[in-house]
Amino acid sequence: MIIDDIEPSKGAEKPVSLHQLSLLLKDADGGGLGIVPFGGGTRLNVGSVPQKYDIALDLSAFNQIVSHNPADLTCTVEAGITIGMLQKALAEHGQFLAVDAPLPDKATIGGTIASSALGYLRWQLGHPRDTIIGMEVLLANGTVTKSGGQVVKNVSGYDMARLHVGGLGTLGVISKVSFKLTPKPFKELSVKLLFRDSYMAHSFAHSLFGSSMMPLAFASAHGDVVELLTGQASKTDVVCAIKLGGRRRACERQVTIVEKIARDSEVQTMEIIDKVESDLLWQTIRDYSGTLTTFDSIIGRIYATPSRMHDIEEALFNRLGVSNNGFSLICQQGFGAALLFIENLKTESQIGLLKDLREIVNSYQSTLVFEKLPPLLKASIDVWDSGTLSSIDQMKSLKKTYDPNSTLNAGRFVAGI
Amino acid sequence: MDKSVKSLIDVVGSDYVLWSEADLLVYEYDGSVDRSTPLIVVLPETTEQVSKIVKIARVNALPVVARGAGTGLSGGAVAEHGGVVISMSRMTQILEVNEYDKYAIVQPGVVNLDLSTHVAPLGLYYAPDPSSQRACTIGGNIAENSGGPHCLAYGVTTNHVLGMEVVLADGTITQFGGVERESQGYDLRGITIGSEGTLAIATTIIVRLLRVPETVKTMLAVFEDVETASAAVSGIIGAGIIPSAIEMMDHFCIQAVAGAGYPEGAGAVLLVELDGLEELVEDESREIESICQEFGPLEIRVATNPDEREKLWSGRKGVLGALGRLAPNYYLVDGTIPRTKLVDVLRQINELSESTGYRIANLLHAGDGNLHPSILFDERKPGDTKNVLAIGAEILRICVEAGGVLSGEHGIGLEKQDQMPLMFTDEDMAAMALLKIAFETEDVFNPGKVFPTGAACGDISQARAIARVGPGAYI
Repeated sequence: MIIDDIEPSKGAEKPVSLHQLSLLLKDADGGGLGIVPFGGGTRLNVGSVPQKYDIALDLSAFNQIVSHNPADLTCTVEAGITIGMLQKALAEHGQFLAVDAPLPDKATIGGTIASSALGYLRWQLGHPRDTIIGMEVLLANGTVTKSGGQVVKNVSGYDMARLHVGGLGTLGVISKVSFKLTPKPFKELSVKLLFRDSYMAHSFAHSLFGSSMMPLAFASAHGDVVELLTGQASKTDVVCAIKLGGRRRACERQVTIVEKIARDSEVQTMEIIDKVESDLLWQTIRDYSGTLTTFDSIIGRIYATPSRMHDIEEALFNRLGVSNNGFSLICQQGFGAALLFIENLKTESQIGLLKDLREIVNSYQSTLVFEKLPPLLKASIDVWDSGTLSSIDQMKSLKKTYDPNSTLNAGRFVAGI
Repeated sequence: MDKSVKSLIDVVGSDYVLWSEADLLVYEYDGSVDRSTPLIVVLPETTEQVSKIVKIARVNALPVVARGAGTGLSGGAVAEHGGVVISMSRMTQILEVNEYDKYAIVQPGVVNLDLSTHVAPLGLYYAPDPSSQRACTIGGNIAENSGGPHCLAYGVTTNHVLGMEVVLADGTITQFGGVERESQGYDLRGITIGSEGTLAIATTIIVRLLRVPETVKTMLAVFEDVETASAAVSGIIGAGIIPSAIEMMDHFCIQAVAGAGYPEGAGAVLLVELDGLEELVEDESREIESICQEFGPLEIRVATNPDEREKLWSGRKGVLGALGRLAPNYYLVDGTIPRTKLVDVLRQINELSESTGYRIANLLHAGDGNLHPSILFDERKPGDTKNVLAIGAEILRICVEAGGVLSGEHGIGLEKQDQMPLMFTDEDMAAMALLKIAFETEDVFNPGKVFPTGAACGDISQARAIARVGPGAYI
């Protein structure tokens, strides 16, 4: 498994048992080797260039559902199971996991959690990290540890899972996760709206989040991606997609609320889409990052607040408008997160562009992390926005404590961890 | 005067440093059975003062215990090893409310319910609602990752905190998280919440606010026994409905709150609440009524106005205090089990009650399986305290054996630390304890909590409790 043009010096290992995995880690840690764990490999581009990369640790053999308790709305799975496989099994019982990461047929639970993959089910159902109720993790030295439990409410001991959500596998290798589940909505549909510019789209979003309803998902798309969603290219139009779910009357009421607010926000077009088309729409939005596979494409992730997002979007588009790159922004309205996509980043002189974009985002007290960047450019710009990070010392201390030999994903995380 | 006292007076002024025996007595206990007198109590007003206090304590090799309102039920705020108690009771400001982004920035001494009251005019509220919310503080909620009846639908404290400013064990002031919903790097915010004051002291907290639901509906369903009520709970959840709260009380609780309007002689009552859009609440409440009817309820009552809702809840909210009508003391246990094990575990608890001769009143957050068996006793009777602590330990063993956990919302603290091996191996606990090393606490912050002391399960907490419980104590 090549990461940033680097091959693992000792190749790949695919353990098939917990004992095997534990021994492998113990030996590697004791021998000063560097391990990069992976599942589906869909997000290996996230992170800095590995400082040491000896073993590509393939966890895809850990793909079982350990237990599913439909009546308790909980399940425990091995980390190498794909999101798609898990959701399919849960759907048979009218349930699902409120985690909606890109490319679910390849993306694994472990990789999705460790890389904090951005999904779109985080409004009504809360943040994906809050679906985790227990975790089994192997430390760098191979010790198997667990925390949490299999109940939906638990304050026994420290909430160790929090260390590993978004920790990029730098403090331990996730082997099992227990989740709380959600009943499938009785009815699901989406509303697709077109606004003439981002100001009206943000204004609409602000009004929606001030109303009595809370959607299952909300995204606004601006730039090249608009053509994919509407069939017509436009640099100024913004597409908003809202997923609604619940009982029939509640869905109808939510549609009424959306329609009214949309009309007040001068919506250009509005379309109500049934479940089948809705699923396709959200698949397109969710998996858009998966379509940017060319060497010279870039994915940036913005961490902001809803109130800052419109100004950030406008400033970014003004800067990108004078470059020769194709670009898109998919924004999570009401949440304050966004993904920025840039294509055809041809030459190293484009580093100036990336630095400008980061400076713009930083000027709004927000953060821009590059989740996909050509390896050559990673030498010239920190993929992480470490300048905006607080508590770096404490983060380094965690790494030093849990992985003193820097065995796991060495150098790939924030602040060179 | 001790030199550390003098140094602390230099930081906060003499009015806010307590060191006389009479003053310290008030701070020797919390809502649990444990007591221990601190050496000094300090009441700071700012983060910088907290930082200086921690530095002084460290230089003088004194442990530090942060304290909110002292309502905790597991000994979290008890100065087990003496030292300095930092009381947050002067840090009570709501510093900012951002209506657009829906967050508030508060000091740790802000009372939980006061926050919701403050933002109510904006149509917002803070969701975690522990039963002690009229007194408990946001800082204490952070330490224990507090829940409450409505956490079934809305989650617990960690789901509603975006970030915090903290003071570390060497006095360093730093920020975990922020106003954004998520951030790069390790989730230091998440790992600190529920760490029971052992890793860091939160001095400013950024909390997420929710929009007040359009409507709310509260229903009371009365059943012959807890088994039938439990089956009704399973039926509701099995129908794909997640109410905002499902509370259950057994006949002892109903008897205690006689006068609250609950039918006397009933075996169990369910208090079910739904909130959200009117259409959703109407449809789901009709279905819940229909489901409950399948289990032959003695009565179903639906509140039709806020006063009736208040009345239905008043019994539930007053039940613990009302247990005093049945016995001078009670010991409240806090295990959580899978919902599907409710019937079986409640049966075992009932058998335990019969075999030991101690009445056990069952109050539970039925929706999430968080039990609160209350063992009734009289601490004046020789042996009673020792016996109820043993019964409590046995109940927790039953919970863990049923696939549950030691604590749903009260925390481990001193009360359950020696039962941690029921859930966790030495390796699990060692991995957790490494956090103290990573945070370089050197056991300055709240030492002697959460992890076992090394004695046999339950022995230490029992011995401690028996030695310290005094007249009029209830737990």
